[in-house]
Amino acid sequence: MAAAWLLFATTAQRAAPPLRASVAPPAPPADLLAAQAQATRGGADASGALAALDLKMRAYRRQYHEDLRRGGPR
Amino acid sequence: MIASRICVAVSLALLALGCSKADVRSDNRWVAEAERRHALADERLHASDPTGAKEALLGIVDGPVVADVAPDDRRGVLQDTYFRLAEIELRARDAHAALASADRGLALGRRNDLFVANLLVVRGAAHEALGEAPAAAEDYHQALVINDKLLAEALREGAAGAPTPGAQP
Repeated sequence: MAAAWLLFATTAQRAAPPLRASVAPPAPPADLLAAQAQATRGGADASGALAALDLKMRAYRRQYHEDLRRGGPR
Repeated sequence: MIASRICVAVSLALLALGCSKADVRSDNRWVAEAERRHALADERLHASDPTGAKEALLGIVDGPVVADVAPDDRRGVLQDTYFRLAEIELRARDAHAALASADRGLALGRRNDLFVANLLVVRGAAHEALGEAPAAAEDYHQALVINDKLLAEALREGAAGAPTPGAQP
């Protein structure tokens, strides 16, 4: 029984990795910030500006996810 | 005799559990799954299937919470996903749903980063679509304040990396 408890304690420790420090999002490029600023103008072209912002976000998002998987920027 | 057999069985089960969890971090798996779902949403939007895109993204925000992801990383990924959901809902002319998605995203926390600014932009657009001009103006203004800070940082970093004018090479 003692052996079982020892094994449990060891496995439980191995199964809970320490919480990793958070990864800062990459600095947004100027063209992405420009698309975001354009979308804050609203008005008749609000949906077009938002769609453009969503398109610009794709490369930024890929970079962010890659940084998260690596535990930090390259 | 029975107690000894139970003890061996429990030991083997615990050993198997320990070995299965030791090598792969579940936070990486969670990020990889979010990445896969965003790529699927891109593909669905390209195929003019906003419903499919929305379903792919809902899998991220409605999925199980992973305990070992740093809270700020989780916030970033989820807020970015709520932004996309709200944008798709606005495209589908469902401003109420867009407003609710943006609110859920903003409820996860406020920082001066791109994700929060995007949520403020899309919430402003949802308010605008609902004819709530003062609320829209307030959200757009807050988004611009963050945007301005991020732009100033980007310019500062750019200036730090650039050669000083007039300096000898």
